[in-house]
Amino acid sequence: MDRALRPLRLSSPPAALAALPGGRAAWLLVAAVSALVVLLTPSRQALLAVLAWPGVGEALLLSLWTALASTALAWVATGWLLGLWELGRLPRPGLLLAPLLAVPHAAFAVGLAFLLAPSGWLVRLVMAPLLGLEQPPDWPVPGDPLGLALILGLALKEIPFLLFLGLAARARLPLAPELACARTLGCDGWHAYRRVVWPQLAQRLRLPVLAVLAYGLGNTDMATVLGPDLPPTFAVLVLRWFLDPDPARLELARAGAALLLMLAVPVLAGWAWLAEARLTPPRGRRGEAAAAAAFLLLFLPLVVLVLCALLLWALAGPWPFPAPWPQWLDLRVAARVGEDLAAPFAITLRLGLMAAVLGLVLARLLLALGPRPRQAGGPPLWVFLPLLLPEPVAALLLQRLALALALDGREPAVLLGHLAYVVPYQLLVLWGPWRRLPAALFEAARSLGAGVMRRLWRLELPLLAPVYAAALAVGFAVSTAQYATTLFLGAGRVRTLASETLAYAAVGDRRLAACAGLIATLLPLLAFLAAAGVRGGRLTPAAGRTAPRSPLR
Amino acid sequence: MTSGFDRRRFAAVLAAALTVPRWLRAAEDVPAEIAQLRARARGQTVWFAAWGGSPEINRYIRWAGERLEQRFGIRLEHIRLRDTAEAVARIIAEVEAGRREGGSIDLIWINGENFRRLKERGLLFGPLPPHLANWSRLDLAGNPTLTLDFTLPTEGLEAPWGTAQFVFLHDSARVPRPPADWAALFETIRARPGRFTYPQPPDFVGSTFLKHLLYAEGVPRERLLAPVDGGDFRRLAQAVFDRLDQLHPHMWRKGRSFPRTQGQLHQLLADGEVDFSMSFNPAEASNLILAGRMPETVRTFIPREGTIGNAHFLAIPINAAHKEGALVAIDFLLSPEAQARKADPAVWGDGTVLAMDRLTPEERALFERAPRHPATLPPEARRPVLPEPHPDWMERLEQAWIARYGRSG
Repeated sequence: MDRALRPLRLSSPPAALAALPGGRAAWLLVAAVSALVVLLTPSRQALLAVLAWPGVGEALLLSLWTALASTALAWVATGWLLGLWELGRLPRPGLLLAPLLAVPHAAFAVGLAFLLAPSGWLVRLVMAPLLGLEQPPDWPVPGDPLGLALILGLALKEIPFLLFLGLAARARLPLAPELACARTLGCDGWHAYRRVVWPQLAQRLRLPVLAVLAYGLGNTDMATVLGPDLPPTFAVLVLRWFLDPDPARLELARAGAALLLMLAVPVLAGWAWLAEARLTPPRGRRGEAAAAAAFLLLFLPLVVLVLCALLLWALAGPWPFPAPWPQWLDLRVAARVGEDLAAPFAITLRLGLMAAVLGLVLARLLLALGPRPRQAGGPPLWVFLPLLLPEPVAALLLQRLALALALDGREPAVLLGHLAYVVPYQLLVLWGPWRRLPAALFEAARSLGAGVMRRLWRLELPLLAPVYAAALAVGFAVSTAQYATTLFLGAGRVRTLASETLAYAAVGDRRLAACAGLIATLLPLLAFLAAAGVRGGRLTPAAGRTAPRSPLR
Repeated sequence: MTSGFDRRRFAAVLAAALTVPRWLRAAEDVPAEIAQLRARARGQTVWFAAWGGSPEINRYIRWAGERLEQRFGIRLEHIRLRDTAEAVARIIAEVEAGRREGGSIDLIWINGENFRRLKERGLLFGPLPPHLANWSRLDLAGNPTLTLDFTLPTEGLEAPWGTAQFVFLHDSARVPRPPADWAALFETIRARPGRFTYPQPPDFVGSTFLKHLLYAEGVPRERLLAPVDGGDFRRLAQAVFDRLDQLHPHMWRKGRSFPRTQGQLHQLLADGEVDFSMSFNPAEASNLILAGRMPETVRTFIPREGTIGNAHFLAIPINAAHKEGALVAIDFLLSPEAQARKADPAVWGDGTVLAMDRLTPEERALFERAPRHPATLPPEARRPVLPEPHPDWMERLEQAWIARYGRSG
């Protein structure tokens, strides 16, 4: 059960990131941000126009509230779940996390929207039979004015991500002596976890949770489907300005991105300094435990239901309200899907493979350029910047870069955008294991006359084969899930499965949206499973023909 | 070539075209000019900017692309637009930036205010008729909307592609007798709280719903067919917004939010969240039922006062890089084969622009192959057809709606 995830677990967030001092990170952000605001070059006029836009204040507040609330929810739930695993009160998630990590945000949002809608699955399964409903209630969900559906969606999608990284980090924490000490001092298991384990985990999860917060502020995929309209979240406004036919709106989009950036900096810094330390797992009082248990009981089935809803809709024939199941499964749909999704499927696959391979090469080059000696320091922090920027900001900056390279609006530009997200994640996967490679072995190889490429090929690759495979899978998954970058850099013309999921949702074809979302989930899932099958860690003696030549000869 | 359009020459060409129906009998038997055009078009890739909001229509365009590739060696690339204004803005921007040839759009699906914007700026290539073998078979005499696009004469700068009339869809399982006229519709909205809504402008179906309110509130027809300034608009359209203020609290989600596209409204009807939807395609209900996206009980109705009918067109931007390919593509899309397929409700269900009496019996038979689906109204039930108001009305209505109810872009 656990084996499939083993190579993934190698992708522990490197200690380097955990060691990242809050202060230094914040200063780095401030410096980078000032440079970026200048790069976005918003005119004063455009900034004023953005501020005068009807509903912009509400939109900004909505972005702030949904991002903070969902991040806090995901953070607390993660702390709580990790504690339950620590104490062995929950079975390990094993394979369960893989599909949850693989499902793109866009697809997850479409599935959750169907679950929560007044005509959705929950009402059909629970309320309709109980109350004998003939027609759905007139509830404003999803898209409720307070953004509760969006908060739920963001939290549900981010919890598996934080859990996955948290579990990986825990595996690398040698805390047995500290825990033993805590127990001799009379702490029970839960308190020992709260006081000893969690603070260390929290430190190691700092970068991921900041990325989650930045995503919450800038996401356009989930907010379009689950968030309110009139006004939507601020990031969605920026996206609409960007895609508006009126070229004057492009200025608004730039100014909006600058504004979003200025909002993001204090929010991220504030989180790092204030919220994170205060949001500890509950004390374990009875009330809190009950609340947490209730949340868990809701959380797991909800996430599984979302995936089931996607699967059912992808194959459903007519499915009128209040039927709990489709009247029949329609295979004509499958044939039509082949026609409609063939092109986006090919593009997604091509972009994903290229991004994974190119990203790996770049990530490996960055490792080689990293600090020496190998055992110290962390990867260069600027690599992680895209993860800490709200999506429209990063996408607009990347679009400027693509424009400068004359790539705008075409597939290479989209590839460039994907790489900005793929490389940091791959670096996260590679960093720890690469750092722990036995230096003596490589020294020996060098003294035997093996060159750089030969050492890479004969020593590093075999030793790190599962890690490299995991990095490729992660890179592929990250590329598949990109929505905003694809839209901004492809000028809406490069259609991938993620962008098609939302395009079909927008035109009200839930079946095609579900199909696109499902395929976009299965592709990275297959990549993860394939990576899990890669074995390694052992060196094989070279065959005679390629036996190392004696340097004396 | 565009701005200096010569009406007399156009008429002469038209007359010439009409006298040579021999061209059209067989594909090989085309005049030398058209044959040359096809030879030059071979190998071109035509970038077709067309609204991409309907999976069924997208599928039809893909079919047309396959045929064009087989027959004429032309590749048709569909640029899926959310809003045709995107492509119009792009053409204007390209020409303003000095790109007067080699533009990125070769063919555009267009009508109404988008046509006006390009025509006014002289950004359309034409006249098209001399280059189109099938032009002479259009029903220009029988259907005035094929040459008058939202009151503007098309002057050969766009070729009619299909005809449309606004209809309402309703679920007969929930609303067995649809409202007979506008007053009854307003009454139904009040009597069935939360069961009606319309797509948020600038979705064109939503905007068209608003235009009907102009008719329903008694704005005189001749006034609607003429341009309108801000003051007149405010005075004349006041009744429309009073009506909306009155009805919104009885609508889906109390009129506080609206579906963003007509497709989302269809989804709401299919899910049973509302009882009504609307479309510009009289065969939409049949099309959606046959695609498995709508319950079998959905039917179509038109209020007694009638609904707006119009035509939609194909045009070539002045800076198109592949004009020959675009012309051959238009000619194919006007052919009986392509038009009959488009008229099939299982494919799209769009009204044809061809005159049946100008077709050979075999060609006519193509159109009679598909029997009328029960969810589509028979042609005689679709009268009267109201003309499209001048594009000014649409633009002002959209702006006023967004200023009043919409707080987003």
